[in-house]
Amino acid sequence: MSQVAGARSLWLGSARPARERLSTAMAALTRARRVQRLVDHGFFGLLVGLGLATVAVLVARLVPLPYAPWQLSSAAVTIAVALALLAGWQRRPDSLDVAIRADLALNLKQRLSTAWEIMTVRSDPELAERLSVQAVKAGLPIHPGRLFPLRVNRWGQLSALAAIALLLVSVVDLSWMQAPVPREVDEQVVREGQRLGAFGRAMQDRARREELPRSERQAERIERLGARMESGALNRDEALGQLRGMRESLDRERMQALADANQTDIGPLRGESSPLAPGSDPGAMRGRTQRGAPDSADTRALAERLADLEQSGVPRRDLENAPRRQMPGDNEQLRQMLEKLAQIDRARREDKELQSAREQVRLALENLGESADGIGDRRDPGINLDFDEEEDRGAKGQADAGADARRRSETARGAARSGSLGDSSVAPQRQLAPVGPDARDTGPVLKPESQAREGEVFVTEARVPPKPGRPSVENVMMSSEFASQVEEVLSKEQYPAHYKEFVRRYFLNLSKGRVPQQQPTDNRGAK
Amino acid sequence: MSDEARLALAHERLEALRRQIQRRIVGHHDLINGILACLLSSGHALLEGVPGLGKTLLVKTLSDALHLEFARIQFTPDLMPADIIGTQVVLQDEEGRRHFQFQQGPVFTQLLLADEINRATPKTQSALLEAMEEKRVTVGRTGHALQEPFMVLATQNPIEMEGTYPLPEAQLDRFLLKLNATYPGADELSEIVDRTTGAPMPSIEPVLSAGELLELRELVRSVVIADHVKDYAIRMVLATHAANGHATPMVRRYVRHGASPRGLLAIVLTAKALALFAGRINVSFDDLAAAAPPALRHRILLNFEGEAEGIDVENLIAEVIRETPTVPGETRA
Repeated sequence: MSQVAGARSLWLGSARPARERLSTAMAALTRARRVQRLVDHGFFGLLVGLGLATVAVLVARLVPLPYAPWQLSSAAVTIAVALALLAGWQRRPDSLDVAIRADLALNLKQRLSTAWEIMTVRSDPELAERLSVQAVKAGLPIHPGRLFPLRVNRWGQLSALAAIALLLVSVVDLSWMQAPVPREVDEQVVREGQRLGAFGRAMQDRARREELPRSERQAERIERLGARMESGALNRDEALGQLRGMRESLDRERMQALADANQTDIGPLRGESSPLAPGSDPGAMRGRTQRGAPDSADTRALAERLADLEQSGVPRRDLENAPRRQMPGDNEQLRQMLEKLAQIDRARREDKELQSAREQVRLALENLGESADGIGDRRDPGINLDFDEEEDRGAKGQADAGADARRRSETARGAARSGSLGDSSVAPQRQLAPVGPDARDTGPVLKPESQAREGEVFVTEARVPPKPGRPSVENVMMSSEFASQVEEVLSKEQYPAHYKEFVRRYFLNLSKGRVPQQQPTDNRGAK
Repeated sequence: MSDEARLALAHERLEALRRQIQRRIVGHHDLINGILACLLSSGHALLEGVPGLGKTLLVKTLSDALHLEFARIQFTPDLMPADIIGTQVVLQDEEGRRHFQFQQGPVFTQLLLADEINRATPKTQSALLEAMEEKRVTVGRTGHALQEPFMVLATQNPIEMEGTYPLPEAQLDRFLLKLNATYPGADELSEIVDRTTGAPMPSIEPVLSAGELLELRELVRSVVIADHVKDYAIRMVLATHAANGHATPMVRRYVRHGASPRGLLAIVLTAKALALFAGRINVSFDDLAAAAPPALRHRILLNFEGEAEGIDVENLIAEVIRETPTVPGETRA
């Protein structure tokens, strides 16, 4: 009986040669092993992912992050498991290693692995056939799923612990880890925060209604700052710093709003806004102009705004000729003038809102005790504040005014860079400037340097008398029972020996409510 | 003849030989297995045990069960190499002329029992070196080949050290296996009493000729050992060297010299014989693990610390087998 025939008798009716049968069995075993390793890798990835998720949740709960803890944890787990599965899929199991494991698991005495090695590595068909017959006889076919079952390996078991850790980290109170810093709530800051918050909300509503984007943004910032102050998150110094920054920001925004309007060559703008006559809305006027010839009301309204347009650089002759053209839709020059007027109006409304906001910020700064800096408030960077010099030189000509405006603007910016207005070189001038109680609501003079050109210049003075800082910390009742602590102090501190009695008397007198004026003479000098 | 047929025939012959031996010898299964493995692996065996355990009887029984020439040398301190190898003697012919003629010693046999080999001097012990390794004897300028199969079975007593000469390492290394004769159990002792104090000792019938033995030896050498199985044997042998990375903690501490390459050959050959006994044509990890103790125990030399602390080489080998993974990176089950 040949080996092959002998082996066939062991195959339960299969007519395939032993080597083919061995190859089939090994392919099935290798697949099963690959799936098993894939699951093993998955558990490893799960463990790593849960570990990372635990750390991420812990960090997210202790430190404010832009992502929610569940987002971080799910992302960590998903990425780790995906990477582990990918690595497991790419690491194909060695078939010989699979055969060795099968031998060990089934106690085949290395029949399978030896046959497989001879068949695949040594390429000895005759010997491979003999060994395959022996392997088939010993135990093949075998169930691959039983040999390499899908199991919960040690990584999977550890993953359960990691999941518990993640759950605990997610639900356990971690406030003890956050080292809370007790803060003293400053009632004045809270009150100012409430006031600023209310103002910010009202300003936001107005800005939204009147479609003033700059004012709306600044109103949001004011409201947020007010909320932070109201929550007690800021102490007085921090609130002052934030308010100063807000004040500078408002000034910049005002400047920018006016400069945007100036990009259309409207000429120098006045710091204060003039009221618009009824029916002189530039949008409505433009609509009527496009539909037909402007009526008498439009002509009158336009005449009222001639001053503004003239300031914006439109020649007077064009201004006079524009309303006279009668062809509907043909008056391009008039349409451009009306658009300029609309921009000017929007810039003025922005300016008005921002100026109002700035006043609120300034008031908050004052209430929080910024008396010295309150004067410097009128010398903010980027704004021409030194109106005294401007007035003195008012008659010297417009050219000089433009140059001075640029110079002063640079000086003010330099002061801003120095971090404190009080430290700037213009500080002595502030003390000499006239101070009037009525001028405080007017605000600073706004004159962007790009607008310094020929024409009338309007300056408005704003002066705020310095107020002494009002102590807002409540008086604290302190125990005057020093007698019991006097001896302790005397025993611990270092002082000249002949001061001992004086110190003792001092504390005892404090207990009685009076301070001794007498002091021992010390020729040697006290330490 | 197919593998199955050859295996069946070999199995039948070995079982017959085993049965004949067991007619006289009670127990000693491991010892018998080791001797048969040596016989099939073309090696020599050193049997160590206290007196009275039946070592000499076992060898004599084996010789009776084989169609082989048998000789016995009782090693004593005054034994000379010529007493083993033979010597030139002067002979006078009919014409009165004298000439030298080589008179063969007892080594010119097929199965040699070197009884109490450690009682002879190292000089005499060394007379067996060439015979054991090269299966030939050189006297003067003339070499004399020994007939195949040739096997030396030596015995020694581990407790009587006075008047003995421990075998040099070179001599020890030439023994394929060192087999320990263990003390029999109660049942075996009872059986021994019954067999030896009653009826006469049963006669042994020879069941295996020299030719059949050579066929079996050829079959043993045809047993396949896969690379990964061989790698396990190599790692085991390397683990007996203190300086090697595979060395176990005990080896690092107590071993001066590990097993030689002959030790690896001994393990593999013995494992092949054991695989054949089991009816397989491939070597398994278990075969190697079973072959390792008798193949390595006389090839590992302890250092001073190991000798001073009375370290048992058996424990050391057991640790090597336990700590050497069958698959690299995994612990042996």
